[in-house]
Amino acid sequence: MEKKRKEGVRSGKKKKIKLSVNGIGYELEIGDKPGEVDYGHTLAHTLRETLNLTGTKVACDHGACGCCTVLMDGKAVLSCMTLTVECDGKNITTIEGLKDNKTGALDPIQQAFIEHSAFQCGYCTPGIIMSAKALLMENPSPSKEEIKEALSGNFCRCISNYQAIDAVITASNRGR
Amino acid sequence: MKSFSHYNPKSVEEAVQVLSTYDGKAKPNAGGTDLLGILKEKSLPEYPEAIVNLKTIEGLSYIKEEEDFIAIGSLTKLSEIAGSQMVREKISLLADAAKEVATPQIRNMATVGGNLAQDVRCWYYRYPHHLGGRIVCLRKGGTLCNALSGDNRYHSIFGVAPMEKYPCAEGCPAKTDIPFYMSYIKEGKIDEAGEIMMKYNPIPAITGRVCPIFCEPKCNRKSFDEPLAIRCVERYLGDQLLENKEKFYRKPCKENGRSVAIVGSGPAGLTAAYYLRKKGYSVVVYEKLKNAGGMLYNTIPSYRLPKPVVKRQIEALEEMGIKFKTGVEVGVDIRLEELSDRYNAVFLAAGAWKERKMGIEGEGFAISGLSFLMSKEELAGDIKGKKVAVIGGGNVAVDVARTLLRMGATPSVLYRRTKGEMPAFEEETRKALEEGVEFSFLTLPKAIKKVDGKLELSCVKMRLSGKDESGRPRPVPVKGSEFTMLFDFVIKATGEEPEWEIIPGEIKRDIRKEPSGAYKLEGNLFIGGDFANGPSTVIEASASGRAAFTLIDKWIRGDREDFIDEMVKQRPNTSIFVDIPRVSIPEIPPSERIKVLEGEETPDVGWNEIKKEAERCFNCGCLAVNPSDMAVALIALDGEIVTTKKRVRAEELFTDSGLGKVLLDPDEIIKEIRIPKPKAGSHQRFLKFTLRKPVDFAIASVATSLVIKDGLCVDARIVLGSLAPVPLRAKKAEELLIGKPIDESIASVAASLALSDAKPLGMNAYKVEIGKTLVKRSIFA
Ligand SMILES: Cc1cc2nc3c(=O)[nH]c(=O)nc-3n(C[C@@H](O)[C@@H](O)[C@H](O)COP(=O)(O)OP(=O)(O)OC[C@H]3O[C@@H](n4cnc5c(N)ncnc54)[C@H](O)[C@@H]3O)c2cc1C
Ligand code: SF4
Ligand code: SF4
Ligand code: FES
Ligand code: FES
Repeated sequence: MEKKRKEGVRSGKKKKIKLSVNGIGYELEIGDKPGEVDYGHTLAHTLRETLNLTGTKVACDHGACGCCTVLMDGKAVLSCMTLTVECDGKNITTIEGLKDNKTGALDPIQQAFIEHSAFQCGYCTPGIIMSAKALLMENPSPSKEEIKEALSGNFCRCISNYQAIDAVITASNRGR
Repeated sequence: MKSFSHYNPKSVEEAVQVLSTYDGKAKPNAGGTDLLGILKEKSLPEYPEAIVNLKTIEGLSYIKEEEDFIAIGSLTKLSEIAGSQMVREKISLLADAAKEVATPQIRNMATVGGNLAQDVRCWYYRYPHHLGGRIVCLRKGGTLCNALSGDNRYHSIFGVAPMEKYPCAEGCPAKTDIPFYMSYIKEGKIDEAGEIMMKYNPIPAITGRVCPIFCEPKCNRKSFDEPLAIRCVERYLGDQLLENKEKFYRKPCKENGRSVAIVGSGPAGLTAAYYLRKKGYSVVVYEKLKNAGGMLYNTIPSYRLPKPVVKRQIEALEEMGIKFKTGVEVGVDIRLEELSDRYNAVFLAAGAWKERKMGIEGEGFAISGLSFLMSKEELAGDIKGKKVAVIGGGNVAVDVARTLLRMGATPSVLYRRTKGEMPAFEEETRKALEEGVEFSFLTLPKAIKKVDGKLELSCVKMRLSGKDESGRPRPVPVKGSEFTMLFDFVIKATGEEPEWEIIPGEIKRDIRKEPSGAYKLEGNLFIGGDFANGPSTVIEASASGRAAFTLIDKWIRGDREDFIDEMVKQRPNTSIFVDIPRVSIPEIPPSERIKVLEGEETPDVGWNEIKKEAERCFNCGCLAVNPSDMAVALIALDGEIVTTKKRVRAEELFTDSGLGKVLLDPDEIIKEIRIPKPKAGSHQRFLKFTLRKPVDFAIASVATSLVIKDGLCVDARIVLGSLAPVPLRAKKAEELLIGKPIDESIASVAASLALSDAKPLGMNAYKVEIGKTLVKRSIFA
């Protein structure tokens, strides 16, 4: 019985998942060989280890810090608490996908973070910027309260939170 | 994360089907924000073999307004609930609770179904396996709740989620609910404690003295320091019951007009008599000896069980209206058939008195152990200063030897196996050795001869080889090891059996050997105790007497199931941790002990010691609090949960009715939640206190839903979160508010009432004030 159950999933043709990351389509085989996606892999793992997109950071790996935040179909989610095999057909955006591909210009949020020195070590920054991106996509002119609320799931050990909020205000003003 | 099989079902039916083929070894995954944490830490002993993704099921994510309720699909994200205009307008409480969960990213992933079904957040429970191994606490099938004696600052202040089965109670043949009565003793409530005790064991003064203690070796506290001294507390309680016998051994309120005869006044007979009488039967107990009490009065030596205790026990039962006819031997003085005719039922509990034959030459020179114990007074003069052989290794042999010592004789116990195989209670053998009883192990008497007025015992040495049919090591004779010994007396105590001759030949009787069982024979005859099961122990016989009562009562009333347990009481919340050593049970030194035949060898322990000992009971259970914010809100709104198996009020799903009893079956999926539309005048509030906003779980939360009509509160639901094992309704506070106008002062009183039953532990007393403040603000702010 047990065997049968497993064969149902694992045998036969290799299964694949399709997902788009930063506008590029990927077809990833499921398996335990290098370059493949294992059932136990998180999206954070796949981005960093399989697709080499190391801009997404993993700190707590438990959903508690926000460092691994990416956009999934436009919403900020935690890639460390997401199974890659459950991302079939999804559109993912990571920090690497924010710059303008044609001009190479940074996203206004990225630019504002540099101008405000909204980081020290920078480990939390990709996650904060992705949360901010999700906010501005939905609400281009948020209030300060709304910004605080949107970034409330991102922790910064270096206490750059105040600068980060200012940076998002600057970015949203520019977008107007 | 370790790998697993993975499924993407298209429908609820398919998901359930996959889950059920895995027999509990597969987990549904919704948002994954809880499940992935558990998988990563490998904190649970069993890692799931398969994960069933619920997100591929269509049509489980919706918020719908129906005529009188709002329906929310289980896969709806918390961010969607928090952001829904309709939810905010109609049931703001739910929107507020959803908004208070974790962080924006988690709310974008987390589903309401997953939130309700999430596992506890106790840090001992979630301790990662890769850091030195997972902690196998009580909730995981271990023996201790680490939070009780450890760090419990985030745990329950309203006691534990009780276990389904307590190891101590399971150890007891009568299944006595030990933590339940201990809880009352902790509070100084002897009456309530006694009431619980009597439900399982109506002769605790006796078992509290002679029970071989089945429960204590199972007590979980042994993994911490030493087991609870349960028998010691039981004895105290038993003595209190006898002291206040008019309260505890009361006549039934009404007679039921039926009658039962009981043959034998040992523990089985007395116990059955008690329960039958309590139910209104008229009960007559026939005893062939001149004193009631069977083995208890007649053979168990007084230094272990003083005669006055047995007498008081019998008197208590007599005062209930149970009649004892002593000196009447059934089968001799009165025929069994006559009893059968005269009474609605007859319970044969005549014990096991017949000495088994050894089958050796000269056996007639040996005195039987039981008759020696019964008639020792008459032998006292003859036996002083004499050498006496005691053959056997059971309790009777050890009782005989210790009694002989006290009578000034020199006993020598001959047993054919070794000390390890002796059927006698270990405690008794230990005491016998301390007192100087001589033991010859691996010694088998072969013949007794009279030589010059003495008895010559021919023996052979044995060795153990292989196993016999009972699974015990088999003693076999050592060739050429024969020897003889001289004694003045030989007493044999090689086992007893029931005197089955009482039962007329034509009635078929087979032995069942289930120590606590009772059985029905032909007609209206029932058997139990040692008579049915062979020699056992007092508590086993008593449990068998209770089983007989149930059987007889049911049979007489024609199987009508109207015996409803009147004692379905809420367990008191008394989980505390006290780091005090086990009570030292006073023991008289062996040299003093052997000087007296009548005095009790174990002195009484006083009330202060007993209460302290009861406080050592962990009241085993899990202190973790249910972490779901949505559950608290849903209960306050009196919502329903619809699963693939049932539709229940949220309040009924979250009950602390036993560890291991989980909210959902492994193949059960939450489909929907339904919230009735609030009445006009609804006032709703969800308040949550955490350490780090926003990410942390609640230290305390309160969901309050009031209905105010014409300035008065007409309906109130106040639910406390993270303060008890499951969301707890503050019913006293609710009752207070009904019919009153809401103002600040009534909110304060309600807040105090809501927390009045809290019993905080070492580190979480701070939760009480937080809880009060939240309740007050949720009512009036
Ligand atoms: C950092 C952090 C902070 C958090 N803070 C809070 C908080 O403040 N308050 C709070 O309430 N929670 C909190 N949580 C717990 C959080 O995981 C949940 O709030 C969340 O709602 C769970 O939903 P999910 O869909 O992600 O559950 P999952 O992880 O997918 O599932 C949880 C459990 O439920 C089972 N399950 C899932 N869906 C169903 C279903 N439909 N039927 C039956 N079983 C199902 C799963 O098998 C699993 O055992 C926090 C979690 C994290 C990581
Ligand atoms: S509170 Fe529950 S989960 Fe935590 S250590 Fe105690 S038994 Fe285990
Ligand atoms: S601590 Fe109390 S509840 Fe737990 S096993 Fe011992 S007697 Fe029973
Ligand atoms: S790494 Fe994902 S939330 Fe911290
Ligand atoms: S800049 Fe260092 S953690 Fe935020």
